[in-house]
Amino acid sequence: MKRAYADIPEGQVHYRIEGTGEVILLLHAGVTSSDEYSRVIPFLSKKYCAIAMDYLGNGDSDPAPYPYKLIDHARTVISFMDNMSIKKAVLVGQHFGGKVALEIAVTSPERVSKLVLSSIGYPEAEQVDIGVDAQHFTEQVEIKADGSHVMEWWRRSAMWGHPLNIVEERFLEYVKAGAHGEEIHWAGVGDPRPKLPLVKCPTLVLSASRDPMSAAAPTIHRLIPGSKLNIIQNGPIDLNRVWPKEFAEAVLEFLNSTPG
Amino acid sequence: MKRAYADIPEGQIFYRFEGNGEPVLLLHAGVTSSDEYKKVIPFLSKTYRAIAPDFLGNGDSDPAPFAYDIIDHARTMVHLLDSLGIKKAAVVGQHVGGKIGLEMAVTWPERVSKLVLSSPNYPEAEEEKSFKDPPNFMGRVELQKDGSHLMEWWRRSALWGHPLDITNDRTLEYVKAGPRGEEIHWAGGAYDPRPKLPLVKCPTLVFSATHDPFCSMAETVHKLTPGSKLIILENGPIDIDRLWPKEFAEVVLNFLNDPGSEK
Repeated sequence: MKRAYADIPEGQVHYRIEGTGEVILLLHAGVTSSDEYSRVIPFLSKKYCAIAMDYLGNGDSDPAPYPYKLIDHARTVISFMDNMSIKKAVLVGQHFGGKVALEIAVTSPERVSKLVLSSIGYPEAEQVDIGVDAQHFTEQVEIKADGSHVMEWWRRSAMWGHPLNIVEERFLEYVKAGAHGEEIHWAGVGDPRPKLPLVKCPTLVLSASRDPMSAAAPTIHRLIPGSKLNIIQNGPIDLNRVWPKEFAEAVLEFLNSTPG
Repeated sequence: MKRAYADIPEGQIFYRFEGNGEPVLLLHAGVTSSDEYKKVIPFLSKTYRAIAPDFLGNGDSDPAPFAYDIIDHARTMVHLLDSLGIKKAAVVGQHVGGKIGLEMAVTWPERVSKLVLSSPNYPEAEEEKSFKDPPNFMGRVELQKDGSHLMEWWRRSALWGHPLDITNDRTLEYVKAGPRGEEIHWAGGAYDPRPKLPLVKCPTLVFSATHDPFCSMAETVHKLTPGSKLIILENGPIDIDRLWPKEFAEVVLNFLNDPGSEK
C-alpha cells in the first residue's frame, strides 16, 4: 500500500492506494482518517484499485479553509476524483463517510457506480443511549498548557473498548485533527432520510450488531429502492478497523453479486 | 508549501517542498519531523528548492525496518535524492539531523555541496547536566491502557518552555513516532562525530544558539572541521528553527549565498 498527495483547488488531499482495476473509493468516519481502512485495503486490492482518502481537516490532509459542511466534504471528494482522473467509482462510506457517499450518489449520480453505506444513522437513532459516556463525545477540545486535553482525546478513543493498538490509532487521529477536529462530527448531524429514495445505483446497507447505528440500518435499507441489507452478527463498532476481513468480504460479496 | 511521498527501497519517505533552484535538504532533529522547518521553508524557497523529509520512523514516513543507526538514515537520504533526481544538495541538519548530514558529507561527498550543522553535539557525560531532566528524557515509552504514556510525551514536549502550539506540535510528533520513537535519539547518542569532522571536504557552517544545551560544543565541532565557519546566535533558543525561523533562515541563506572558499 502506498501513500500520496493529490492537489485539489482547496488544498492537498492525502490518500492510500493499492491495486489496479475498477476504483473503490473508501470514505472514513468523523475525526478518523484513511488509516481506518489500512487493514481492509489488502483484501480489496486483489481485484480492485482501492483508494482511501483523508477529508480536509482530518488525518494528513490540509486543514479545511473554514468549518466544512457535509456538502463541502462531498465537493472535495469529487475534486479528488477529478484530480485522479476517476470518472466513476464504487463509494464505500463508514458513519460520516456514508453520509458523504450518499450526498455524492444523489448530487453527482454519474460519478457513483455502486454504493456501500456502513452504519449510517439519522438524528433520532444518533440520540439513543449508546451505553457509553457519550455526553461529551463531540464537543470541541481546547488545547491546554497542562496537556489535559490529550487525556480527553484518549478517553474518546478508548471509550469503545477496542484493543490498545486501535485506541492508539484513533488517538493519533484526534491529535492530528487538533482543536478543530470535531467540526466534522457537527457537519454530519443532518438527516439523510429524505435523500435515500433518490439513490439510483445498486446499494448495500451494511452494519454490525454491536454498532449503535445498527438499529437504524433497517430503516435506511427500506428507504433506498432495491437496496441490500447486511447486518453482521456480533460485529463491533468501527467494523472496518476491528473486523477488516469481514468488512471486506461483505463489500466484495455485494460487488460480485450485483451487476455493474 | 506542498507535501508528498517519495518511494525509496526502504519504504516511503514523506517530505515538504517549496521553491526552485539549488536544492537544500533540511534534516530534522530526533523524534520530531519536517514540521519543525515549516516556518523556515518560506524564507529559503524564494531562491532555493527547499526539501524537508521525515526520517523513517519519525513524522509521516514509513517505520524503519529495524533500529536504524546514523549511517542507515544517511543512506535513506541519499536514496531520497536519487528518487527526486537530485545529484547534489546543500544539507542543513539540526541536532541528530546534523549528524546524519555529516555522515552524508563524509560517506557520499559527491552528493553534498555545502553543510550546515545546527547545534551539533558529541557524547560527553557533562552534556547531560545541561538538560532539566536527563534520566527520563530519552527512555522508551510503552503504550499504557490508561493513556498515561501521553502525559509523558506531553512532559517531554513541554520540557523546553516553548509556546503551547509548539508543545502541541512536538507531542504530535511523539505520538506519530510511537514506542519506537526514541530509537533515533539512541542512534544519535551512540554516534561520535569528532573523528569524522576532519574528513569533511565541502564548505561547512557550524551554527548554534546560546540557549541550546549543546551550544558549548559548537566551538570544538568548528575547530575539528577544516575551513568551517562558526556562528552563535546570542540569546537564541533551543529548537531555533521552530522558534526563530527568520533568524535561522537568514544565517543559512547568508552561508549558502556566500559559503567562502570552495574547494
